[in-house]
Amino acid sequence: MSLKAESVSPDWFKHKRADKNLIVNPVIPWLMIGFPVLILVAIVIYPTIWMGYHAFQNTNMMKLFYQDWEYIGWQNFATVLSDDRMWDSVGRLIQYLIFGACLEVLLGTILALTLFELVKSQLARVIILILLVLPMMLPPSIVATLWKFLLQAYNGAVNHLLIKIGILGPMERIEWLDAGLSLWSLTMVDVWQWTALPLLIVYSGRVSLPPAIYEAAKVDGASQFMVLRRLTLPLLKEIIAIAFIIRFMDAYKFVDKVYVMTSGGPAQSSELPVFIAFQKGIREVEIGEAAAYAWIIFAVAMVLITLFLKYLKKVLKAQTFA
Amino acid sequence: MTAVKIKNVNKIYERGNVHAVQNLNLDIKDGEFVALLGPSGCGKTSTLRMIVGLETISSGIIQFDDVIVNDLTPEQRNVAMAFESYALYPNLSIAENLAFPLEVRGIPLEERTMEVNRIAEMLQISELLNQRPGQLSGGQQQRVSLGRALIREPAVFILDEVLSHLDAHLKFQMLFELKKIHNSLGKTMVYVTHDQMEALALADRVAVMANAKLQQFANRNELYHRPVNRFVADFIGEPSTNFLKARVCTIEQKIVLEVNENLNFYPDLRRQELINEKGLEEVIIGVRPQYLTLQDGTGKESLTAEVLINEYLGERNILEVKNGSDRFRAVVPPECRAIQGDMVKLFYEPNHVLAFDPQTEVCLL
Ligand SMILES: Nc1ncnc2c1ncn2[C@@H]1O[C@H](COP(=O)(O)OP(=O)(O)OP(=O)(O)O)[C@@H](O)[C@H]1O
Ligand SMILES: [Mg+2]
Repeated sequence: MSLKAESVSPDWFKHKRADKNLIVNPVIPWLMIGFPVLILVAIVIYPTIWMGYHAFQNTNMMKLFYQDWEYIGWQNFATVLSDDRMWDSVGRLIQYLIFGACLEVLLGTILALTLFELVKSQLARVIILILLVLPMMLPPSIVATLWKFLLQAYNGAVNHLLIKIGILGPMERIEWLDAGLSLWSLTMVDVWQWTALPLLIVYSGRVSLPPAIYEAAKVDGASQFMVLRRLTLPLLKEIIAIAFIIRFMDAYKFVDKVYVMTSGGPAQSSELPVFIAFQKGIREVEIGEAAAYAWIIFAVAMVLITLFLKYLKKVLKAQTFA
Repeated sequence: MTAVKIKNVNKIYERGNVHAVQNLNLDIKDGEFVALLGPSGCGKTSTLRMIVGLETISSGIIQFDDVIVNDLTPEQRNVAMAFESYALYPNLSIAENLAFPLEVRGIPLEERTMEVNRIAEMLQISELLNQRPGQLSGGQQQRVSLGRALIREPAVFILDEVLSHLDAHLKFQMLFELKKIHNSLGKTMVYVTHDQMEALALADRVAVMANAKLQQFANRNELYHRPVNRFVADFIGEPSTNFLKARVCTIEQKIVLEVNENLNFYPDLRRQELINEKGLEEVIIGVRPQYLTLQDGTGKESLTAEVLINEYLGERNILEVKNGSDRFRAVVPPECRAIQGDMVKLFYEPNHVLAFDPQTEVCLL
């Protein structure tokens, strides 16, 4: 190898340490890059290719065991797309997105702007923010377990509280986690945990708006509502959209609380698409079908993310002008 | 119709503990055009912000007519302000920016559009109406900000350095427009600038500020001929006043101010009396370069000096001259061809010799 050992360190680096050259064996950089790449190949790239292959095979547990699956074309996709269970879950996902992600962004925005307007002391602001952000810092599985206990129909703290304050009669119970309510309960818990994220994003956006234009609006005689409608919301429009995109992407792959709190039940009443794919692949070991599921989810995500990125690009372009 | 009275107003910023305005007293008459003039950081913007109601008043009173406005909001005070930093609404187009004060007052769209067009034409920004503030140059944004203040008729107009980013030609046109608006509306206007040309051209009276304090509040004639102290004499006038240290001597019962053995100044009788009264042994002389001329005349005194620089400025020349180790300047006609080393004889009227107390720098008037 003609490569000399010193030549690996760049010029500016040598310049900075003029007295002592950093001597690096040229193999080391390759090792440093190579190791993570290997891990990536092992846990992402190889399984993806494997999955891509099996989406077109009739693989299930037995066939996997005996290694005798065979090519069946698009049949797995057909099975998935004709399955009512899947379409029901899509409906629930949309419900969850509308009432979960949207509610989080809406509540977060309202809280952020109220906090900014009403609390003027910097210290108080920081304390309130920290309190509001606390739920977000807990691991989702812990939050789910916690709420599973709180929402127990008997002995659960939530029902207990409702009885205490007289909303429920002493013998009444709300079955938070039964078929009718389970998805709503999941949504509520998710809102409890994640409202702080859009709150933080919108709050920091509001803080960075120039105070001078608010003074100008005051002198021009604009009412609070007018300022909100004509200045604050339009100026925060993009930031709110970005908060929504972040929550949306998270919601799209929402599975943790479903898994812990209801396992998709009762009677599959709280299943979301990602959870079904997980069920099919890991529980039922219907590898072929699960792979097709994953591909469909992936393709939809690709489309959505491309749209979001297009929007973000537009936003960035607009902001360099503003 | 509003007179603005500022009584003993102080502004202390808690942060940094800055005493930005000290004991300010200003009595602005109804319909008067007042300029606040002073160097950067002297408290002009702070004063304006207190008048407008964007800044709390640390102590003192501000009255609009007979109403104390200390606790009123800007809207209640009914003022319009153009900000030094423009403060344009970045999400609105220029037309919407201009129309905003009308929009919040519920004025219908057609009327708003008409007013916007009128103002835009006056300020020469008609082509920009569909742009956003971010796309405009500093001078263009400044005119939009001015337009937003001028579009309605408040009790008082407050304009903070609204022409500072314009080229001389445009600035001149805008000064003219402002004067026209003031004449036609007859509203009280407070105009902040650090450019004395603007202040003297526009204002009925000029308040000169320095170091958070009001120095003098007077019309341009007073400021020019009877400055209260050395700062005002120095700040007002272009080129600025010559200051020379002089010893007070008495020759034949007349007071003569001796700068050096070859250079004496002969003040008029009243100043001689004042110097006598105060018993000063030394004074600082102030003579405006405009009043040191090459033309003799009745009652004029003269001095000789050596030319250092003859600066050609087109309609006039500025001679930098010296006598002994004392240097000063004179304004001469452009025909003057004196070059370095030439001796010139300069003439002045005794009543143009200002004298300042060297300790307090107060002008003897
Ligand atoms: N919000 C503030 N907090 C603390 N100090 C301030 C604040 N605003 C102004 N000051 C201080 O008050 C003093 C006067 O400021 P001001 O803005 O009134 O000056 P100005 O005369 O308008 O100057 P310029 O011509 O540069 O605009 C300055 O020393 C400045 O540092
Ligand atoms: Mg200022």
